[in-house]
Amino acid sequence: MYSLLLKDILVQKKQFLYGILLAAVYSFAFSSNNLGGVLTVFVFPYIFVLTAASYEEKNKAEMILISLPIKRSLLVMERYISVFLFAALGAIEYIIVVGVANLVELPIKFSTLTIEPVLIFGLAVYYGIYLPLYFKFGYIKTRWVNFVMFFGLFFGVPSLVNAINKYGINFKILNPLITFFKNQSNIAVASELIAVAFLIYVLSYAISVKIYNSREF
Amino acid sequence: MEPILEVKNLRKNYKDFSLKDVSFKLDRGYIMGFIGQNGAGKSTTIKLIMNLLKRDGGEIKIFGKDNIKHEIEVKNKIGFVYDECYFYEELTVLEMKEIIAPFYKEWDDDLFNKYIKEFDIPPKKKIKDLSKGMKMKFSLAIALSHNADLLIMDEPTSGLDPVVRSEILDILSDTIQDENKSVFFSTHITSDLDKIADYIILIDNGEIVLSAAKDDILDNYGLVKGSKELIDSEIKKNFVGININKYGFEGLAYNKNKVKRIFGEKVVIEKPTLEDIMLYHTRRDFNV
Repeated sequence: MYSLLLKDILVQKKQFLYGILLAAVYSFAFSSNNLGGVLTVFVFPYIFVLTAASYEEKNKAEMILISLPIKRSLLVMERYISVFLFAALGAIEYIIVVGVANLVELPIKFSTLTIEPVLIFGLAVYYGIYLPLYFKFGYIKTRWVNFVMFFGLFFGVPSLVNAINKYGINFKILNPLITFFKNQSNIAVASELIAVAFLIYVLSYAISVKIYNSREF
Repeated sequence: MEPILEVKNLRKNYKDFSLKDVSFKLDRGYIMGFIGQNGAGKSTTIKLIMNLLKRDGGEIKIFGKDNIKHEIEVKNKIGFVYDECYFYEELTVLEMKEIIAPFYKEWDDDLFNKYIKEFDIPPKKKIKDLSKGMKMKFSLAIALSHNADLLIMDEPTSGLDPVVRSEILDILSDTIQDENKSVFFSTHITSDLDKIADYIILIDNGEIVLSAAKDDILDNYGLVKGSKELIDSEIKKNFVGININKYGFEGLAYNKNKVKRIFGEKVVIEKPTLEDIMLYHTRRDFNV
């Protein structure tokens, strides 16, 4: 597993420099609503997982990987783990950027990073949906799906949240759900979100393994 | 001892092409050449052996074990070289090796370093900056560095210059000095096999049309040249294929001794090359 993850890092070493730049820009640009860190952590897997997949497809490296004594399920698992690895690397780069900015006492306000359970939930749902499609059709064919999902998420979620805030009270189906969450402590809600995220991710992994096992090269 | 590779009634169906009941076996200590035109089914067969494609029927046994049920175990003892470089071109030779090595139980770093040195491969160079010959030698170094008993090669020499091709063939001959190891080698450059192969199988349009020891093939078949008046429908039955033009005929006979008895001194009989064998078996316009 380690060497599979390593290949995805090594093929795009230079990209981590752009990552630092990205973290700095996000931190500065979203300092007013403190969203820079969350965005960096979300955008990192989008860039790095997809770049790794694109190099794999360009080189047709799956011909080699599948010919090695490796179970296909391990190759699938590596992709699922790499999402959170790159999210973690995003967090680290972000902390470094903000840390350095604080250290040199830049007269600019940066947003700080808070890892919200909803971020983990978002990553699990996003890649839980995308990765089975990727394993079925490959990177090139699913590029646009991913693009639409990504921007749909950024414009769709705020609209959805606004809509729920505005009309949620009138939807009978949503009412019990809202009451359910409102009556619980933050920690309970967080654990529930993480548990659901984990379930979705595992289910998605199982689907991807089934798809990838029957794929031909 | 069981064959190192045994393929029985292997089938794979596509819309416009089928592999039809392909069967052959390879014993330990031999090099088997797998020849045929482009598109005849060589790569499909190799991909089925490596489980890159899913078979529609038949059996593949490697070291006596099913290639899918015991996939990890058998792949640990297989070295593979493909027709193109499928490594990550952005990585260096050493980085790529570091990624591949941990998956093999018997990876031998000293052996790998020895090959890299012997093949003059610069370890810190990116794979994209290596020449085609170097890339192929790097593939071969990887394939030879984990104590594999079976080398599977899909057109490894295509597109290489004669010097590199000859070097690669020498390396393969050396490998076979160990009587436990075997090589399964697909190519359409039949002259490579004239030098090193022990057995030849010829595939045409998804079917095995010839499978025999190379020396038996070259000793028994005869390339016959003579006047076209000598050819009639009964005589044609002795030939795999005949090419008739206004000057006479040239044909590949199944049994050169029989043809010698029929024609006596009226024809010239030469020893065919593997290329002749392949051409006469596969060219539809030569069919009798």
